[in-house]
Amino acid sequence: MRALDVTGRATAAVFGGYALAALVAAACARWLPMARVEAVVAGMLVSFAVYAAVAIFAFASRSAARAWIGLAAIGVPLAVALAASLHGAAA
Amino acid sequence: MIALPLVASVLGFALLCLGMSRHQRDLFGRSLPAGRTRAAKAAGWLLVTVAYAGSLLAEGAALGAVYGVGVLTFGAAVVALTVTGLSRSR
Amino acid sequence: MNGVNGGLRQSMAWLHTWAGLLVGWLLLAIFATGTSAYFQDEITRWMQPEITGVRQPTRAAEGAVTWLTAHQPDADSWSIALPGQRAIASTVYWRQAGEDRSAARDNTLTLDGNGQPVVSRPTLGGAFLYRMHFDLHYMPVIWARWVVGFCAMFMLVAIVSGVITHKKIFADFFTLRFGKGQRSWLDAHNLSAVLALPFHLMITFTGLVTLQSLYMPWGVAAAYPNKAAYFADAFGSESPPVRSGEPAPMASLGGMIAQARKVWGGAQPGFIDIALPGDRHGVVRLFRSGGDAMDAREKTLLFDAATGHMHPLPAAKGGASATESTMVGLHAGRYAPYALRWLYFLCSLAGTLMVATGLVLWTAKRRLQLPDPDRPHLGFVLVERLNIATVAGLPLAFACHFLANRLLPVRMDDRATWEVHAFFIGWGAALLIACVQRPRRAWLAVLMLGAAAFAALPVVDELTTERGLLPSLARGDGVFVGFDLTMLALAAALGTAAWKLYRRPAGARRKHAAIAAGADA
Repeated sequence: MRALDVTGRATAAVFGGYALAALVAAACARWLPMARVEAVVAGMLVSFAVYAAVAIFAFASRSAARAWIGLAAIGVPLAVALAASLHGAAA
Repeated sequence: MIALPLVASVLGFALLCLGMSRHQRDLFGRSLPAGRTRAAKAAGWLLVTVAYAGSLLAEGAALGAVYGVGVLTFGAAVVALTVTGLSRSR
Repeated sequence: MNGVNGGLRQSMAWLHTWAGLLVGWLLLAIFATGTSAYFQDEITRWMQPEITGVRQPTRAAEGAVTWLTAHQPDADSWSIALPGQRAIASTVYWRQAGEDRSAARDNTLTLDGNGQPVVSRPTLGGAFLYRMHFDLHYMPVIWARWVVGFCAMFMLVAIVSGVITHKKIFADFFTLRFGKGQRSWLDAHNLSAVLALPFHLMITFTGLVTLQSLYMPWGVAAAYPNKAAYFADAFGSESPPVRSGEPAPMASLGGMIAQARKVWGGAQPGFIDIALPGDRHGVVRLFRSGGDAMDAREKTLLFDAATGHMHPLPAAKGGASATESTMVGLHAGRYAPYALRWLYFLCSLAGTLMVATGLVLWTAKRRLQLPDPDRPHLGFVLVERLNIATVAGLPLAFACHFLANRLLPVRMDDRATWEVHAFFIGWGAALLIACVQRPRRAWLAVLMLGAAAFAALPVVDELTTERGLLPSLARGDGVFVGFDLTMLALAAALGTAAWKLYRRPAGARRKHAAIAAGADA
């Protein structure tokens, strides 16, 4: 159904996009090989481009499901790696 | 100082416009021969590049880069509005 | 690839339409106020016609300190906003012990070039329009910034999808066909979008960057134990001074400014912050004027207030930080000299027209697809009415705001606030007309009201002040002449739009006439 398709893509774009952008910002902040404050700023700068790219991808991909799968394929490993890194740092 | 890049930008875009067959037909009533069209396009691109380079030279790297964008926008807008006005009065 | 609406180009066209439509009216307000903000200093000067004189930052700073020492000697901190290159008056703020930062907004005064309080009509000047650009109004500032950020993100997506979809971007580069209905609106939309495309892309992205620590705090959360640590790293780690209790008169501010200007290669200070004035531990912070460098956060310098001794220079910025502050500087454009400022203004105007023509284009296109043009579906009605209220109504709002500045009694209570209310009253009137009248009549009414209001401004200026168009021309006063002429140009533009609409026979009338002719036959 069309409404379902559009809703699925829209949520992928709006919420999935923000989540991935946030993950990328955090990943850059932790892992870019530069001064900490520089890495944080670089991550923020890049995150908006990521958000826009995800939105485009969500509406260009063949289906809403594929959009979500694509997001998860990048987002989940990133989230896991970040969680591990943060947990390790706290421990 | 920025006047020269502005003029180059307007002339460059005017030539690029003249190098397009649709606008040739609008302005002259017919398409121009291929040689002239190519020459117009080449000269147009050259002048547009000169306009941007001129901005860099006139105002330095950082300020000039921004001026350059403004100068190109201005030139393109002037040509677009002029061409519109000219083809309407025909 | 089959996207949401078929192939890539059709999907991107669909996305472009919806991204633009959902936030279009707010974006129009954001673009319009942003456009005016490039001349906010000039607008402020026009709205305070009582202030004359020349700009002298050092004298203004020292005069301000004299006034503050005399009137607010026990304050916890003083702040002085010096006149930029295009303004004359300075503004001082002070904060007493125990007050929080927002109190400074109430403890404020405008001083002239010699440090004397200015007697001028209370007004926010161009600053209201500037702040509305990102703080909107009548709502908590943080909500507004989230809403504006949301719109900016939609705008970014609209730009990218628009570029992908516009295959004939070069073939149609110079094309603007008038009088062809929907086709003309499309041409106008394409032209205003493509010709200033680098600007639109830059302004949208840098706008997001300007508030990036609000929108994307996750990097800070991931790399720093708390926000304070990040801000210390990013903006300098001097902790605020503690009151010693020993009085010490402030050293010469002029001397500190001279030292700063040497470090800054001649640039002027723009903002001065003095913590614990009159105390031995007082600290003076000099911020470089935005008008002198693209990098918005270039080298803030600290001094001991009592001795005038300069603290060690801050460390040089890294690449990402320098990029961020340059991007902020690019967005605000405070560094731009006059020629470039006008280019900024024209590009921004193009952006405003891009959004406006996009919104009108939607109704022009959909109207042709309506099964019954006299009974459009709710979505169409909503868009059409909001278009009238915003595309025609926003200019009216601006005009009402400026008219209020000239017409409200100088001594009334809350005058500055009522000038702001006038903006929204004008906008509200347009919305009312848009809801109550038939669309074509509503368009004509609001456009003509706007044209009349703008045309009235130079007249009211002439009648109520000594700085109307003619005296200002005689005096060579560029700012006042420029403002009044711009108002006349806007009046002409709105009047022309109304005229063109009036001359075009209404679609419904044509159809009705045809039906009536058929019925009579």
